[in-house]
Amino acid sequence: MTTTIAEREDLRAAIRGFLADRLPEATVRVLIDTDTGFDARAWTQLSGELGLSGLLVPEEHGGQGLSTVELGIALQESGRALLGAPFLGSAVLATWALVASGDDATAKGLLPALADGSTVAALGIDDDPQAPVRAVPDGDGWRLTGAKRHVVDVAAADTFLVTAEADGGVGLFVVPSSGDGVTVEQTGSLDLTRRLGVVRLDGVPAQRVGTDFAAGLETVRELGAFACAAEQAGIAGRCLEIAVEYARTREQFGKPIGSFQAIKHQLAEHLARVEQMRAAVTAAAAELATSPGSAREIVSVVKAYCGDAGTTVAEGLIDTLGGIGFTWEHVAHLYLRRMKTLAYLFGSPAEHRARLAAEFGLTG
Amino acid sequence: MSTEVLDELRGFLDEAVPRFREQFGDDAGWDTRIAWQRAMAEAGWAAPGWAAENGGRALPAHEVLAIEEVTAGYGMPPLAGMLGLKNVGPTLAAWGTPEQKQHLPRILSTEEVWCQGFSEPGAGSDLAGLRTRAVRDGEDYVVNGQKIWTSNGMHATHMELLVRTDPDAPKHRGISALLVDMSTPGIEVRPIRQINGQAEFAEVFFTDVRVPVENLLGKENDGWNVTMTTLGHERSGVAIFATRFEREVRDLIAAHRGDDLTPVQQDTLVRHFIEARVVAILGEATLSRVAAGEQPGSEQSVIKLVWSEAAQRLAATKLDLAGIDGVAGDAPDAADAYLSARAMTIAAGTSPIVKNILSERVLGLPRG
Repeated sequence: MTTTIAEREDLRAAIRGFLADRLPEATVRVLIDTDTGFDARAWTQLSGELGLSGLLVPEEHGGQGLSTVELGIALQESGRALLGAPFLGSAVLATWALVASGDDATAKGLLPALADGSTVAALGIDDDPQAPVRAVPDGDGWRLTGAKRHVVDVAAADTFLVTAEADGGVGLFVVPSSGDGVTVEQTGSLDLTRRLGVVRLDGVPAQRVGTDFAAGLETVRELGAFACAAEQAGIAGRCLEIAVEYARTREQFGKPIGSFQAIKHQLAEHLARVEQMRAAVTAAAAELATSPGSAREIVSVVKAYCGDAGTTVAEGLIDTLGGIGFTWEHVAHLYLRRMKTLAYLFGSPAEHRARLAAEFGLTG
Repeated sequence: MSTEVLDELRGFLDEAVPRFREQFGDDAGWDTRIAWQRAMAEAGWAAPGWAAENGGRALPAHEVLAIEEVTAGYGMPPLAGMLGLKNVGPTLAAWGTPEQKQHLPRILSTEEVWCQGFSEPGAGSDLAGLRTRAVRDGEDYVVNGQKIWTSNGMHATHMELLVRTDPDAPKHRGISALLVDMSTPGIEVRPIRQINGQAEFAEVFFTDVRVPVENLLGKENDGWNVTMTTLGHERSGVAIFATRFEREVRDLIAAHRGDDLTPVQQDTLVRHFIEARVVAILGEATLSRVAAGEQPGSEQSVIKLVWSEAAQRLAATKLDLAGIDGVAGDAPDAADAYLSARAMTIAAGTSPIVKNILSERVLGLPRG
């Protein structure tokens, strides 16, 4: 399904309105101190009323069948609102892994539940180097042993999708989080609004999805990098708004600090960064939607650019705020924490620059 | 856009460029640029955005940019009378009387070369503070004062001149625009030698210069609005700079493929690419907004700011890649380009001025 520009703006407004109403900053702060970090009822509403959980799910499996163009908008809004619900982990990464697996039977079984939000899945693709996940055939199925790290939205998931070496290639497997031998451990992420963690598997029975997942894994990594950059664009836009609002009203030396060029020029530079981040995310979204096979370059550009520029904007918010921006109570650090964490998920700016250097033939 | 237009253009260039090269070689001097503009004008490609009655093709902005992109691919020198074609011509078309619009075909044909008399020694970033005075005397204005940083001033036959006609009015409301023949007695043009040794700009002195009243462009004391038209056309050119800049970086990277670069040099080139790609995306977005009939918003100022600073850094990197040869006289082009690039953050709005514009007009911050 494709949307018009007006429909996309409606989508943006609907998500923004819902999140402002149901998950304001005060609620975000309450959720930070809960076990799972998300409000299951709000997730149900986000899934049911806005269809966020099914945004990427094909229509024949009960979803909206939308593309990265609409996804980019939704992610900018989720970043802006510091959304703690498992949108990125379940609706983007795990959902896309299933779609990319090409396994229609499993997709038919799992995607409708992901689309309506009744199942929350998380994707494990980063092996613990000490204990990479191994798949061993066991009767009709498989057994998995090892650990996956940096699993996004780990605390909310009832189902894990994990990769493991199988038959000399890469396999994708489904593991219920409640299964015997599954241990979930939250790690103390810099980002307080999104739970990352380790999933340990000890001979856990698992069902394989599709056949070789090497190409699928590649597309999931590209989508993940894009998703991080899109969230960062949303966060940066909000950081700039807060900084500008403060600079207009905070007075020192008898006038608003926003009338001083030292402040104005910093904010103008942040505006330039925010506009470039948005434009780059929009361009990457269009490329991923129309010709995903040739999107590697733009994905690395947008991930590297947003990682660095976004961090500068979030740091700049604290600079503009001065002392108040260094307090726990101000929202600024929540944005900086999320921004900085996103910069390292799915490849840091330095890693994406190295990838570009290699593709340009500069590395000799 | 219709591919026929670009096919026709390519057909012309495929035939004309080799013939031109045969005669002029790689020379990019003034006379060559004049000759190239004549060739382009005769085929109808010098100002394709102009109205048909003025010698153009009435093509919309994005098609003009596509034409410039194709043309740029042939590596020909810039047209001589760029200021007339890009800035003054459209201003004349917008504000000129029927008589004044008769300059337009002569601008196309290179019979007239125009410059802009805007900046003054005391009015750079604060352009509206200009003091060159014009006093009405019978059917003439009598002009006294000085202009500076006049691009093409040494070659120009005509000037769009900003003068103060009402010294008592608020500064933006006492300015008028005059069309001046540069051969008028009392005008003296001197070249300004730049930091790279070249002289692309002039300073122009006016001593009791008589300009006929019918050469007033727009209404008396409404010159600031005329100025905004000219500067608006000047700024709209930055989107194409941004897309060209990306190609420059891609070419540089291609030229160093397989070289024995240090990891830092590799990373520096990739950083340049990312900067250039992102600003080009913003340029493309601006062009498609223009193509869709929308007014570009703040993007042009963002592009000017980001492109100029990125291009300066790129020039520094090119000099760096040349190593000591760049400064020891063995690779003078890199050194020259490095020096020339310092102008990018000054001309057409300094970086601090662009930041003021963005912070006040886009972010709504109070004036200091």
